Amino acid sequence: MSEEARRAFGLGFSLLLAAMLQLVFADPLQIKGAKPDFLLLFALMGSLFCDLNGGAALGFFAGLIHASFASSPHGGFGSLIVNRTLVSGFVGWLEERVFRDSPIMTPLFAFAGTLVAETLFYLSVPQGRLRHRVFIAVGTALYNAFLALPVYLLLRRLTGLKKAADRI
Amino acid sequence: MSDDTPSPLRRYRFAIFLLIAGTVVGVYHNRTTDKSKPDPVVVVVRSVFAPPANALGTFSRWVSRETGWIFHGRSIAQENLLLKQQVAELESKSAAAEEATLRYEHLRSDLGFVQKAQPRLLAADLVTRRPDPKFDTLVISRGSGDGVHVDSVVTTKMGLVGRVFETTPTTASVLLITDQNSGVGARVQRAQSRATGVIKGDNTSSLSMIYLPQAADIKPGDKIVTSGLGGIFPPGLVIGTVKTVRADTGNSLKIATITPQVDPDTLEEVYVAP
Repeated sequence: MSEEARRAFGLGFSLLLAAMLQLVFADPLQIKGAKPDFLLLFALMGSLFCDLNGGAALGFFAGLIHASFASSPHGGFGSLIVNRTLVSGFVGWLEERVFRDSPIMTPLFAFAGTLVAETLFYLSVPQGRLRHRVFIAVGTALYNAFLALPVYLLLRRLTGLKKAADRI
Repeated sequence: MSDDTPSPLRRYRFAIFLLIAGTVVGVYHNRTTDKSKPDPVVVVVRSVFAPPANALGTFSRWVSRETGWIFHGRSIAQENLLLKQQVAELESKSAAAEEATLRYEHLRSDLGFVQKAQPRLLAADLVTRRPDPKFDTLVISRGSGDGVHVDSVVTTKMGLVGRVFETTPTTASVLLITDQNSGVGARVQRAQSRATGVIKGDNTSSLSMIYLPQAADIKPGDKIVTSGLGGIFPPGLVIGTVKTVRADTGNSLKIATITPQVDPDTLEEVYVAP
């Protein structure tokens, strides 16, 4: 198996892992209604090892899996896919053009990326009370920021990537 | 000298394609689900991810049950004592209720009412419970292949859970009554009241009973059951207990806060009426 195929396989496997964590453990891990969004977190952290196109692909599949299990009867399916594609693609672009691979930045990426994704989703599907949605968005963003570094290190191991120059 | 750097459009055409694909998939999903048909994309994704998630969920619940006493030993002993007392009380109430039901059925039969057959209930495991904090939804391990359809009612032994809003051949999505998009016709169970209203969720652990007239006889502690109005939910399913009642000054109506009978956090298995 080539190095590139191995990395792509590693990122694909990470999405499977994220899906299992999201489907089975996200609800039991809730703290006052705030839950981690493993699929988004893995997509954001995986994008740190990609360029814009790779990040967008990760976000697309993360959004597709998320929407297939969690969308509401009144819309949001396409929006979940599109906003995750946008946010993960943007993180991939930032990593490619602005920042370089740095574990210290991971909580910031996770927090900001989650907040932007939730804001985009609210703008496209403005359901529920704003205050409640803000609480959920901030709670999820904090949770994701807390889990960002371990997920980043796990992804680094799964993909075999060590530094920015190795990115797919 | 020519510049070989591709334009951003060309460079990022794959990402642009994904954005367009996401939009198309979303529109297609809305169109198919509006017609109560299964979305093939969802069918494929769920057929890949639902079986391992179901197996992992079952294993994790087993581990939690087997090791829970380590963390909750003392509280479990106290809870056990309390539950024994409650079982004794409920057994006597149950016997009286059974007797009353028998007499009621006799009277209905004497008066010539149509006898309704008890619906067949299918037990279903949870593939996932509220995977997104924005929506109070479940995915269960029964689908259109088992006869489950959109608007099938989902319950537990304790009371109403919600209704199905999307199916695939092997799974179904359930909208919990606590979701903001849910609405259930309800009434006060107490014989002297029978006030009717609508139960609305707001994605928190409590429900609201709205459209109650100012004169409605409703007080804390009252049991709330489905009214059967609306046609989706059969009458008599327990929804919850009234916690507080307040006046809705704007509309000259009352609003009651309801504690749901079924706690979504502890759901492990549900029944669905196909």
